[in-house]
Amino acid sequence: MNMWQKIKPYVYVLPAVLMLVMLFLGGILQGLLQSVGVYVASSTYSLSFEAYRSVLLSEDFWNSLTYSLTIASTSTIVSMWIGTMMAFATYYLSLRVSGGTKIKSVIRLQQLPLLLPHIAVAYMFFLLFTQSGWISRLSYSLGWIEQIDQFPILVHDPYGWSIIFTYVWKEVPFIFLLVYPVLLRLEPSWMQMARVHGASIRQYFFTIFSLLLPSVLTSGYIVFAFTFTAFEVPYLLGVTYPKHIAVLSYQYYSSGGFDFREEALAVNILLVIITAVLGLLILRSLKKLQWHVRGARW
Amino acid sequence: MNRKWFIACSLFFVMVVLTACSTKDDLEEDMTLLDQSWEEIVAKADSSTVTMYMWGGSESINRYMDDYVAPAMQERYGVTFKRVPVSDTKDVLTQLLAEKKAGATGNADIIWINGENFKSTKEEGLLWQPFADKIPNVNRYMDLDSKALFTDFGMDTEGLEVPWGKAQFVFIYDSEKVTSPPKSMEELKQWVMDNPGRFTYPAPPDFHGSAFIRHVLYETTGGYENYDVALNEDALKDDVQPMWDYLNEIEPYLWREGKTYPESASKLDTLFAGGEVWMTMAYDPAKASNEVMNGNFPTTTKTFVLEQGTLTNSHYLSIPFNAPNKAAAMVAINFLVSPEAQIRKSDPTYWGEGMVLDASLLEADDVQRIMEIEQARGDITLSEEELSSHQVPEIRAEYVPYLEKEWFEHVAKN
Repeated sequence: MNMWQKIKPYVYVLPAVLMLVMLFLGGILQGLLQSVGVYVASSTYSLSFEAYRSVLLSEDFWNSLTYSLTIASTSTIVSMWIGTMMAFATYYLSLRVSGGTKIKSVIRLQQLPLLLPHIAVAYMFFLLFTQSGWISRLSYSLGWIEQIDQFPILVHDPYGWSIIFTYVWKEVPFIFLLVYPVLLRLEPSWMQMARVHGASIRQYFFTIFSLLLPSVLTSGYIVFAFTFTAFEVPYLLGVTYPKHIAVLSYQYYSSGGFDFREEALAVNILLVIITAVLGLLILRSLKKLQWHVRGARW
Repeated sequence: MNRKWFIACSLFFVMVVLTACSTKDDLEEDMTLLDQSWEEIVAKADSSTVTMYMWGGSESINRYMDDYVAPAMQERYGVTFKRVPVSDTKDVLTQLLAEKKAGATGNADIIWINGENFKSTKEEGLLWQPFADKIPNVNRYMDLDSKALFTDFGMDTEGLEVPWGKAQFVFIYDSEKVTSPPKSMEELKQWVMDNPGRFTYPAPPDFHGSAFIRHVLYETTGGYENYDVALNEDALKDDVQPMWDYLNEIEPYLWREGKTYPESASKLDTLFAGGEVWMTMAYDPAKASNEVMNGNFPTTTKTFVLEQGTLTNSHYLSIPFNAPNKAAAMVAINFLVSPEAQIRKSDPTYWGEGMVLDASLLEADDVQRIMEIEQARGDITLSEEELSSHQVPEIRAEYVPYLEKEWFEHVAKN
């Protein structure tokens, strides 16, 4: 019985771990092998890095990479900023307004976008912001623009505005979700004390910001990893050239028979590497931060 | 309690692993299926489930499958018909390829393919045995010598797939905004230049965009006959230059000045429905009628074909190598090419697409029904006569990916 008590937690996580290992790590391994021309199941072992060479030498890849990195970092930074601000504002509100239910409904309202899948939101933004979309039509019927063509191009635009809008709208609540609990752990009296000593709200925010930083960075990293590699939103809202990196990989994978399989998987493996390196960098800076924070007896 | 959970979880994983491994016996059983009589095959299919993976992007086609085919299969053969919608048939092929590599039983009993997809499935050995001559309705009602039916983008079907329908490319326009539609690519160019921003085409490799550029190829380089030879990329380079010139000449006058193209035909349809562009295209002559009927397109919508003809192809039903229920797949395919199902399919209230059966082999009642449907069709869909007198055959399958790739280099990146 004692033995069982000991292994119980491991057994409980076993299904999740197995799933993760089989589907996630297995998938990556499979992709890695196939990108170098090794197909275990059909015993084809022609090891070659040709796919990586051709991808890294292609101009399309670098254009797509720059485009995707720009969109992902813009979306991430804007989401991090707005999400943190909203969390702080809600926290501030919760100190001033008595009655928990009001704050709870404010929080619930902010969580609303989490309920919708990305693809639905992308389509919603398309319907809203395209030149023949609802907002354009509304402005036309209100006489703000003379023709629907005058509505600014926000969907399928070369800068990816609609993709960034979609991501920001979706990810702000996510950042909020991870940052708000940290704020709740602060002593409410700190703020009063800071105010008594003449600190403005802004000064107070910047003082406590270092305490928020670990969760802001972690959630930001998750957002970045997602927006950098996800397919459906840029597919629906992107431009023909340059393609988002995930769309480029999909195009390699699905067009022209099975000729570009290796290239598609090489692109994906490169994405994994970039994301992993970034993750390690953030992890390292977090460790430093935590040491710092622990030093401050947090 | 905890122990039970543990056991249940372990069993689940063992089951997953086992189901992924047990295939060898099934394959041998399949081999003998083709030696059996049709009655035995029908009996074997009884009270089983057949799964068809098919492109799910058309409401009217889905309605035909769900409201007509599925109940009829249940009633007549006791077969439960399951339709699995996919957004791109290539996804199914990817899945089959993975299953082939892993040696696993599949889920799909029937797939809906043609052209490039037929070529890759055939080359990768993803299709089952030649079974077409086993299907009674193929032998009884189809013109077995027809090249249009049994040559798929220049490839002999070899009995690996059964023709299911004939499609033709048409342009769709709003007659309120376009008074006299162009009749050739040259006239289309003029029209596009006179109406900047009102035309575009889906970016290849979208199926419709790819078909559109093939029309340009035919008309700017002198007909489809030039391309009925094996693909030689180097020799072709100069020959196809007029096509890139044409596409680049119209580009500044396209929607968004050609800086971007709709990624799919459905997006182009949305732009057309919203009035942002004034033309769209379909590889289905009756699509416009259906869209008008469903209230998606304006009632002033009309269709046109080019004087020199538009592309026609047949599309096919096939059985994957690892289909779990091949007997029922054959029964379902036989039903789908029966006169009853084919006539119902040609009805615009369902799908409104050309039949693959030879009218001269049909019974008098059926011919009568075809005439009635033809008359009730309205003026949005062109008449069978108008369509069939303006047809050009599809290019060989190997040209398709080549043109799509080159389009990206020559047109999209400019």
